[in-house]
Amino acid sequence: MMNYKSHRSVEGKLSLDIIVGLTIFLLSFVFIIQYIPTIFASERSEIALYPLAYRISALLVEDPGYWSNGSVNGTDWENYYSLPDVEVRPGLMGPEANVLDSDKIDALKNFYLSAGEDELRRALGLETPDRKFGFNISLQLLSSNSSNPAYSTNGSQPLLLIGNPIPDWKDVAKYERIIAFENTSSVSNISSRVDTPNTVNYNFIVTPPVGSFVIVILDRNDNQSATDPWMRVDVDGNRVIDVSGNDTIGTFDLTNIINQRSGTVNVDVQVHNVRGYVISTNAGEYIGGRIVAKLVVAVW
Amino acid sequence: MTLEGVIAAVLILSVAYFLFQSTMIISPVSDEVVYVQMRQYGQDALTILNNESGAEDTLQYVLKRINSTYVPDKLLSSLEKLLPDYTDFNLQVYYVNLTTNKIEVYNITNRIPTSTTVTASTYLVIRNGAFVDDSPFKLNSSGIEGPNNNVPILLEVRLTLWRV
Repeated sequence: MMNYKSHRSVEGKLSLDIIVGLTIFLLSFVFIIQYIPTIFASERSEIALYPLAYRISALLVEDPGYWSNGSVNGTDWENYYSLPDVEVRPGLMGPEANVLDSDKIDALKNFYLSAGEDELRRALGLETPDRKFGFNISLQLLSSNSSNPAYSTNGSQPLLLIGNPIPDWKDVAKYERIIAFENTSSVSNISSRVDTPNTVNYNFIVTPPVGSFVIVILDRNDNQSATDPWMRVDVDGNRVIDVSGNDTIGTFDLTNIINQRSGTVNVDVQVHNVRGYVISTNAGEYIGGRIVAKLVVAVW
Repeated sequence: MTLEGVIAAVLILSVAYFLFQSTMIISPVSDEVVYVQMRQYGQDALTILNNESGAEDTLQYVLKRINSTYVPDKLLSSLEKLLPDYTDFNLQVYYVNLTTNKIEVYNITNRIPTSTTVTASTYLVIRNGAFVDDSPFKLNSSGIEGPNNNVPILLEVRLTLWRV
């Protein structure tokens, strides 16, 4: 009987152990729920940023762009971006993917300068109702990297460098695409012809570092097909190329030889019975018969 | 109904509610981002080199001249310039051998890759007459009626990339 009474007296009561245990458990549970998202915070922002950087690079490299004023539209947005009531989606593609149109590159630069950062951000789809993304878009040499960026230049100005400086205090997604310029001569400082049926000296004065210095001999000259062609090239008085006959036909890349020197470099090209040209540029490297650089898109 | 039962029910319901409300987060390892970018480099490099300019480092120029002795050093040197320093690569050509009716592989380079690689590829169509006589891709006249110089030959160039 006593046992029965004492048993009844604890029914429905909560022991101190359970309350303490439950409190600790609930506090830990709330803490973990609040803490877990912050563990993934940096990864989560990268998840959102990388597709943006990829999408912009793809739109610029693989699409010629688009403009519309409601009744008329087209892909030659570079001719219409400055007109009122025109919606523009910039794209830089020329005749094929990865080959950029120089006029569109200039137009993108001017669009940024005239319409402003906010307008270009909207055109690139980098503005959502709750966030404005920062961006930086540039053309860089293949050897360029984040710690030491080397921009593609024509003269002393970067061919394309728009947007804000890339911050080093937050997560930045960077995506790179390899591109070629459609028109070699539009991005070359010199594009001189080496074209003679006789023996001629051509002199080039170059200041290293250069993106590319290449002599391209396409063929023998048409007028004297019977005479064997030859070519001798001296860099600051040192003979670096001495070829004759069929060995003369080809591409001769002097970029590394010139970049190993300092100050002003004299390149003397003596040719006989050839047809070709010399490309000297800081816009990129001469690869696959075209000037090649990379488009770098950074988003944060 | 005991107190423990009620607490357990509340706990299970709150966990279920939390799971269904929260977004599923699948965080990419930083490696994957690197490999996506690496494959893009490879694809872009092949696109740049797949052109008809006639330059000695283009795929067209090299594939027309390839035989057992031809070394496409300018193409390989251009690929090294196009791809970042932290990568190495293998270049292979896949083609249909009409004598054996099998897809065969011609290895332009035969380096040893690491366990994780990415592959980019591009297709080319070259006229049979444009290949050198001892080209592995050239079609023999047997089995084809008439002159076979204009028969189009389809080649797939695969660029396998890995980190070094």
